[in-house]
Amino acid sequence: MLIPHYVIISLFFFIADSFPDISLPAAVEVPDLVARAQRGDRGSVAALYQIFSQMIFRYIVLRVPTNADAEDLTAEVFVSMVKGLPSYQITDVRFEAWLYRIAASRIADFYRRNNHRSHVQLSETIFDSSPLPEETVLHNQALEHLRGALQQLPEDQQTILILRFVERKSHEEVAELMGRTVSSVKSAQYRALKRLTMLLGTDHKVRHYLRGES
Amino acid sequence: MSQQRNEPEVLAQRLDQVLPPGKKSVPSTLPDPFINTAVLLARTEVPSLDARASLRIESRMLEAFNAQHALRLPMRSRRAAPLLRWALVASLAIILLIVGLSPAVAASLPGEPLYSVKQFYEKIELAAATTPPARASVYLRHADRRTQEALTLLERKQFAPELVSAALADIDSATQLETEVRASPRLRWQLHQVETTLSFIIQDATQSGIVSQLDVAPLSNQIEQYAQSDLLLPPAMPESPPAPVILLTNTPVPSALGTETPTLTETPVPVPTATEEEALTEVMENTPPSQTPPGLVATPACQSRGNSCNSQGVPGGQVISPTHRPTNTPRNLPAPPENNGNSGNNSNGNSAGNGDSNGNNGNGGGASNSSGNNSSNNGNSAGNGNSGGNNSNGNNNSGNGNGKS
Repeated sequence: MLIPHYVIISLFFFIADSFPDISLPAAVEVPDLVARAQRGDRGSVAALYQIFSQMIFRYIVLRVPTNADAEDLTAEVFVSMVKGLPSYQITDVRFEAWLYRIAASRIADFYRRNNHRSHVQLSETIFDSSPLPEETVLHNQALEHLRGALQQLPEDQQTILILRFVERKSHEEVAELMGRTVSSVKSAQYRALKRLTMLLGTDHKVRHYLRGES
Repeated sequence: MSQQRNEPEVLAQRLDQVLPPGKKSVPSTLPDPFINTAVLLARTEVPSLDARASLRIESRMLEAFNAQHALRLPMRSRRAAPLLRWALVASLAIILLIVGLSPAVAASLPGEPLYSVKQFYEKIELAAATTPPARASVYLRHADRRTQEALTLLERKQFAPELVSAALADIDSATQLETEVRASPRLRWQLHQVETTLSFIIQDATQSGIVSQLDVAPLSNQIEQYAQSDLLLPPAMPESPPAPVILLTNTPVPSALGTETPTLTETPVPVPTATEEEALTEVMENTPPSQTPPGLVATPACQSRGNSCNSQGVPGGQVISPTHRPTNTPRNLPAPPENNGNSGNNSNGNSAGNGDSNGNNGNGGGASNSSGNNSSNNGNSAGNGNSGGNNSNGNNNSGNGNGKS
């Protein structure tokens, strides 16, 4: 006897709901996860975290002084996500756009609370006293310098550069995530790269790098 | 003007070529500093969330989730809640349907949707009746329902011969269980009611012109046959002696004056049966007026002479007229006029019977009041003049005294 497909699908979801800890297949779309999370599915909430946690952290870590601050703010973002899910309305806009907005809001709150300047000194980023390989040190120095320079840009320019070149999203995707037009994104990108190039030029090694010099 | 190219657009196009979206490839440095800045960003190994931090953040998130959903049902229960709710609603609906349908089903008529439900229910009802008395009761119940349905249609100026036929068929089925029907007054009464209603339906339908007598002749004949059946007649009541009639009689009571004052007291007087009454009447008619047989009281044949009888169909005993006054009353009340029988009533029941020798009652000599008969016309011909006194207590006699001497 053939079992109708809708019976099988319903049975699957019924079983999945009965065992919330079972992770759902990756093929499940994000809107479905969001809907199920809104209905109180703990597993769907955990799945959303697994999908977006690294992405949000990478966005935050380039915008705040330390990794610890980034971790705390990442936790705040996902706590806000859980609290905001009941009122979140699923639309055509990507769910991650909502998460990026939450992250930007948490970062703004962070700087208001701490009255931090975006400029980060190199000495603040040393986590341990053990000698590090030169490459690592150079890497860390470059990272901190880049981070410091990036944080001096306006918030929207930081976001565009991070989404465009760190996350490797297209101009259209960036425009969708930021709720802006593609042309405005390209214009902001141009201004951001111009500004950032100038700021990075203050460092001798970076200046040489930016000039294409090895 | 060509130099005024859209530099952001040009840069964007160049960046899409150098750093295509969705790919991790990073070219080597290029002469353009803006592009090199973009390449620097793309080449930077941005820190990732380590496992420990990731678990810590996830735990914090799930704690917030649990706290938010602490009062909410789990997913399985929330999925089951609507099902349970629907099941409960469906159950209530079924119960209400069953309870609510009973009057609707009972009131349904042939041709209506619920009538089939009614018929099915009656089949079950009959199947459930396992004993003959129960089956007889069910048949008569069904016959009554068909009769009521026919009556309802008659109110709508419609005649349903099939309903009458069905009722008669049920009656026939019930009467086949003759023993059970005879043994139950309730069933006989039901049978009688159904037959009466059917007769009325036929009669009303023909008189109203809804149906012709010729069309309903077979049904009328059937109904008449059942009407003539002794099964419809209630069993004959066994003969029982009539209840005694309570009369007020003058009973002498010693008074302070040393004289006996007659007082009305209740004296049960057996009422003769019809047979006895006839015998009495014959005797009285053959007896001279002055010779009232002892032990008997002159009692007119009320029925034959047109006088009223008591409820038992027997001539009520004539009561002592309260107008009969004893002649030895200290008041020396004037004696009633002669030949005056019962000339009225007085509360003390003193009789002023004519020819009353003992003064105790209006009865003539030898006549006993125990019979409850007013003998005030002893001086009169028997049974003459007293038209009243036919009451059980014999308190008064509304008759006039037309006695003849």
